[in-house]
Amino acid sequence: METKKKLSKEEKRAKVLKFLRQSANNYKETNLILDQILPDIIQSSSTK
Amino acid sequence: MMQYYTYDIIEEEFTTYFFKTTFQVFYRIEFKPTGYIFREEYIWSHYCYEFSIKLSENSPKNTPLDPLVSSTIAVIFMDFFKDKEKIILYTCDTADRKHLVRVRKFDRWFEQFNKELFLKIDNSITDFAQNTTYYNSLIIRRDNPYKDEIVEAFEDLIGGFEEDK
Repeated sequence: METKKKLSKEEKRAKVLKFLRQSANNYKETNLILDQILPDIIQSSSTK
Repeated sequence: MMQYYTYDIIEEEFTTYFFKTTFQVFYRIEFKPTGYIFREEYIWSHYCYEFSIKLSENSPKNTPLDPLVSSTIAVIFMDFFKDKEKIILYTCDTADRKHLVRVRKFDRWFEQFNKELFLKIDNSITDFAQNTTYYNSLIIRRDNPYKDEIVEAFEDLIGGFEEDK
């Protein structure tokens, strides 16, 4: 039966950073769109 | 009552929502599984998603601000979270130096639609090699049956490194 190697703290940090770099890259286009559409909420709520 | 555009859903490999605005802008909101950051033995890791918002290539540019877009996306989030086990991971980085404004906007938007239903946990981690900080949020329903285990795993995973600063 295969046993999983327990990651060291540095290996775990490297794995998390790898994930976050990829995730931030995935969100790049989404964040640019959010920049454009989210002011709508702030503007509309401030005029109520 | 909140106004929003009607939308369509396609459930295939990913869950994808579509809607068109009165300015003929086509939006696509996609939810992709991203559970591999958590250990696979967590049963809830299979409910973990990232979302993306995309415009179709032929959508017109420079259209006026349209408040129905953000409310429609909020309604889509509510629909996506019909399953109380679902988890969303959101990430932004400091690469374009707009992160603080972006995080504040995202928080404000989140407050608009959460209606006591959701829990958002924020964390950050600095990548010294790339001189970048990643802001990471985990969003779950407050009645998620795995809530305590998810929050603990997230804080252990992302928040556990900040003590090294």
